[in-house]
Amino acid sequence: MAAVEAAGSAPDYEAAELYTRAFPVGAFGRCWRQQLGPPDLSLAAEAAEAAAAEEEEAAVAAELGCAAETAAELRAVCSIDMLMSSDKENDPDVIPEDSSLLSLRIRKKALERREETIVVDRACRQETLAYEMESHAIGKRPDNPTDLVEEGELLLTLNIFYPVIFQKHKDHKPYQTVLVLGSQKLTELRDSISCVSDLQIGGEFSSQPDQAPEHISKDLYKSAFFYFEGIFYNDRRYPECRDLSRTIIEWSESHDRGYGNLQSVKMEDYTFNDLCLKIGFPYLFCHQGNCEHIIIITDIRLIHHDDCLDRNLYPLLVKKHWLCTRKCFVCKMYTARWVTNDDSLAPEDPCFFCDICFRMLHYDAEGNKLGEFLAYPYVDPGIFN
Amino acid sequence: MDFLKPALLYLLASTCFLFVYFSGRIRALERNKLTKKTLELAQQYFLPPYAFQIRVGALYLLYGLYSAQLCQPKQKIRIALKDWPEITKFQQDLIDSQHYDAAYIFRTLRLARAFHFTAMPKLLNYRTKKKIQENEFKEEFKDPSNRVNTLITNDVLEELMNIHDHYQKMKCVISADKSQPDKALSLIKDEFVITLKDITLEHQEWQQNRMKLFLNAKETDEISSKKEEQALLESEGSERASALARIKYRSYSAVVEASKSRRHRQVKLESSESGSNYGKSPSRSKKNSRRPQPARTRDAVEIKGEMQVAKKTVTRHIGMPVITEEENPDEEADLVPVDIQVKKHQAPLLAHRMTLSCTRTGLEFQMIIINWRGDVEEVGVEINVKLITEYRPKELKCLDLEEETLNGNITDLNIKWT
Repeated sequence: MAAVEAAGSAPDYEAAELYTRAFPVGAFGRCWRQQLGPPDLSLAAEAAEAAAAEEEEAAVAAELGCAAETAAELRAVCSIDMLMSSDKENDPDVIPEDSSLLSLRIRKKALERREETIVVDRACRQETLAYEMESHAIGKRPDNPTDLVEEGELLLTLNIFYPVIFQKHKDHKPYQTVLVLGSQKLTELRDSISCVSDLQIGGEFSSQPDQAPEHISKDLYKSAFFYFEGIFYNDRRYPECRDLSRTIIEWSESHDRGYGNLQSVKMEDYTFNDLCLKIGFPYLFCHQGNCEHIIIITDIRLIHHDDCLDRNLYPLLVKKHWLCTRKCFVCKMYTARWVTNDDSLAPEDPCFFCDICFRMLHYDAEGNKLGEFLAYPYVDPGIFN
Repeated sequence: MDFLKPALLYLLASTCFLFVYFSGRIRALERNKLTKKTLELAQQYFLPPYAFQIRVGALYLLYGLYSAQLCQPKQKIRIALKDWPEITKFQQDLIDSQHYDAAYIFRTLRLARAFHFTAMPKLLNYRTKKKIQENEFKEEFKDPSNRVNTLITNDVLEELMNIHDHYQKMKCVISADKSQPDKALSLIKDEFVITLKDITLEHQEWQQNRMKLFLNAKETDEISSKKEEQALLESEGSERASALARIKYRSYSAVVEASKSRRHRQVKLESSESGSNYGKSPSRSKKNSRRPQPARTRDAVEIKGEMQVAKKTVTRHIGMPVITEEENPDEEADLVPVDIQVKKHQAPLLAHRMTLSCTRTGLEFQMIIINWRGDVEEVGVEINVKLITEYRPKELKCLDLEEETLNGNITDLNIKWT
């Protein structure tokens, strides 16, 4: 009965291998929880292995409906130790000479070739970073038990794409991967998305460079929306927030453009469990009026006891694209923080400077402006590296 | 517990080796990726439509891979919600048929919490990957169930037999002559059930033969590819290069040099893509000997031009493994020379590919016909084509001639068998 129900409401492909049909996230989680028993869902540190051998065997016998001796025999024959070969000592770094396995022989060849050609054999920075990002939170448990993630909680994997379209990213768009819990509000995700356009500082500051980094765009323009399955989820937490989706909805309705009924709701009222989603389908996050990030939900699954179990660490960033930083034109060392136009002192237009070089070049000891130029604070996309 | 076959054990051992013996030299990030991928591959065989035995094998494989991996924490096996009913059913089947070992292993995996209970079997990423590789499907692992067999089982046949007997008796009872039914009542054939049984058996046999053929074809394929692999392994450099050169020579030597005025439109022969093609067309190597071009005689209305004909058989269909039996040398006898006469062209015939089809079997032959007497206004040519097939089609039809130099119609194409 339950199985039939599960099959009926289980998400399935709409376009094979690409994306699924839309399905309610919360109902999907309930469906899994119905199918599984407590041992499957348990988040306890280690399954209670201490159970005595006889007890274990009795449990096996009861579950499989076999005799107790059979259970004992099974334990002996199917144990994990039986999987390992016993005659040789297990050194995973050494490939045995006499191996008849093709995969090992090929690997051995590759390793030998590597030894000949590669001088320094170690992980590069990017790889180390990627691994650390991926694994830093794995298995973490909260100090305070109330922060523990509940059993049977859903975990969503989201890819959030950068709005940059460089030529070199033509084929492979950079994105960051974030894990969120099903019970989390959309606003929690919204707050965790870091984007340079939030940090931009508007205005020209060539005459008073010290005043600049006071108000960043994030504090000035707080509106944002998510778009999932025909509904705009607008951030309306602050009085100054505007409904960014209104113009889109009006545009869509004005000429009956065939986009159906687009709705607008409040982002803060919804958790991910309340949504109806397609996995693998591109959706949208828009903030700062026109900074648009594609969002793809790549996976939804039940939480596992090896995952990060500290609720406070979610939304959890697990992958980030390494963006190149633009360096200061003078020292070629530090990341640029200023950009100038029509600069009589610079060889290029626009020209980028770090804070120190910018001040040394453009101002005298008293802080008076030298030469003609327009100076704007610059926020590099690579600052989140 | 005699269920586990040695082959499965071997499979298990060979893959586990990779993890046990040597994962240390792979760095953690790569190792996670590799393990994930391996589990994903193994997991496919755990689900229908694969046969029960294969699924048990996959379960063992998963158990071995999961337990032996060096990742810390262990990479998990992904199970999608839509597959779960199948898995619980499978578990029940295991217990019911008393395969306690497999059931025990599955239980251990569940207790070890080796599964991620997911929405979909894979991570989905809308078109951000450049190409989606196609999942190849192991046909021979599939459950050989089919509609006919499920419809007509032994029980059904027996039941039918009974009904038929009963029916016959009833007819006897109501007939005038009690020992034999009335003629008027004979509405169905008497041996109906027996015929049905025969047909079913025949169908089964046919299916098995087909499977065998398919497997054989695969095997020969595999052997050749294995040989290649072996060669690659043994000496990558020189032999590979020479083999490549050989292949290239074969494909290019079939191109005839065009006359000087025509060199800009010289024919390019595609090199044969599949390795199965090379090295086993005895006829081609014979024909490859280039002959000097005959002097150009403009006034000749009928010129016996010589044509180089290369043929290529379409072997992509699975249901058509006919041409794979070329190993035996007496095949030569089966070569059927065909005479194709092309008459009356308004347009020059330079070089073009022509697809010929014989209508009865749907077989298609592709041949490339090259003629260097291109600028002659009217051409009557004789083309000698050799077809490697046992079947002699009565009628060959010219399907299409794709080359811009050929504007005229080629309707009068006569084919004679010699």
